[in-house]
Amino acid sequence: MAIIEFVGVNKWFDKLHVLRDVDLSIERGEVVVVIGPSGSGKSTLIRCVNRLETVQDGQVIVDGQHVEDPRTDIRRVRQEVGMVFQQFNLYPHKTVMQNITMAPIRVKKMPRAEAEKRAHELLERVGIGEKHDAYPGQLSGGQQQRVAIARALAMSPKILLFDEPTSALDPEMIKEVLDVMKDLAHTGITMVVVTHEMGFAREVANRVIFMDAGRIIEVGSPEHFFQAPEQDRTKLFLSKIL
Amino acid sequence: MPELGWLFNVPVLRFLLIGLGYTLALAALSITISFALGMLLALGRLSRFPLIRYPATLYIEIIRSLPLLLIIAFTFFGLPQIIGVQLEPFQAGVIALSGFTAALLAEIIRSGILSVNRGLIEAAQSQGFTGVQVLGLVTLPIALRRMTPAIVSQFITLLKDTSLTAIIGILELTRRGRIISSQPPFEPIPVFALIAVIYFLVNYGLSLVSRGLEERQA
Repeated sequence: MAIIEFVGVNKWFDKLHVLRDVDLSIERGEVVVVIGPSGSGKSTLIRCVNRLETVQDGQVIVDGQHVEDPRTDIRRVRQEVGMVFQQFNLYPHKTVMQNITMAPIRVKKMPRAEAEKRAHELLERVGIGEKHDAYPGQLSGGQQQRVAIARALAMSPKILLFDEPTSALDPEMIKEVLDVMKDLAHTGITMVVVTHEMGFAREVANRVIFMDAGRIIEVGSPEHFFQAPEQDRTKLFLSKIL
Repeated sequence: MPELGWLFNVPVLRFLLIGLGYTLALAALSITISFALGMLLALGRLSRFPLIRYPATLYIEIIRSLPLLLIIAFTFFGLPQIIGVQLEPFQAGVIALSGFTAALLAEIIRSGILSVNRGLIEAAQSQGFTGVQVLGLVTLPIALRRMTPAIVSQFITLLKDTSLTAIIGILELTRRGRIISSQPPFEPIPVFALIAVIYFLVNYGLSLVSRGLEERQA
């Protein structure tokens, strides 16, 4: 059974039709990369998964729960869905350790000692074990984004959403973040990644989705995409970025 | 150097210091109440429920448009007739100062809340925090840090404005200064100079507290 399912989803920002008849099914453990020009609706698509955006039409079903239904307790869904943002969005007034342990302690009621032990493990895993007492402002962009990934992982989510995680990074820091993401991709967690990093898509994606003007234009394996894309719109886009 | 023994003697200084006591008591109570009320008004004005938002907005717009002197006079002379409870001057002073300052603080706090990066709020929401937790753990701590200088400025203004309560008969510091200077030897300048020094020391103390808060949070 799919862990994320979009059925006939439409969304408007006022009169702007940003998602058009989106049908999508993502299986447990899949790594899906979403590509497309800016304004194509890729970020909006993943933001609908944890209801940072609401849809006006259709169904968004995440791990069996209807996200589009206002009666659904969205906090339960969100505890299963970690999110990593383009601008990191670490809490600037909290240390790295507090950034990571705040949600497990306050939302999951995990004992502090346990949350901190886990935070240390996660910081080791993303390669910045020694930075737990730093404030976000004292870290480089790449380090901040790795803390953000650790923060998302601290809730032990089933799904991780990445919204252009390397777009705000200096070139030399992109690799350190992508390396962490590649490691994660092999752990069996479901990942949906909006990115322009085609190397990442080629290397770890199970499927690539191409969106344009709010529509899913083409879905396929990385090989399919980079060797024999079918749609003209896809070919045009890929020719520009590859 | 003129002879100032008439000013620097125990009965006169004690008389003035009791006035300082009233000034500080009015200010301390009004700071506490106005901050709490200002916070509620700011949240009310940002509420998505019109039944909360409109009254909060109306209160802020009306109160901050009126002169404080008028509000103090109204609270003491007019309000008791409406609510049917006679107010002591000190009570009326605290109510007027708190109610007035709350309206100004509400706008400072509201702008502080709105200045918090939307992405931080979304990050907190995406982690499953409740709305109240997002506000208490992320939005307000960040907003309050930014607003500290503006809020302390408002508190300093409040402390000085306690002198306006003289019109309803509170013998605070400035009023007592006027009383002393209207006694022999009828020399207001040394009296008001002394009072100015006292106000300065208290308010400069507040500034230092503000600076300390800012540095601790940096």
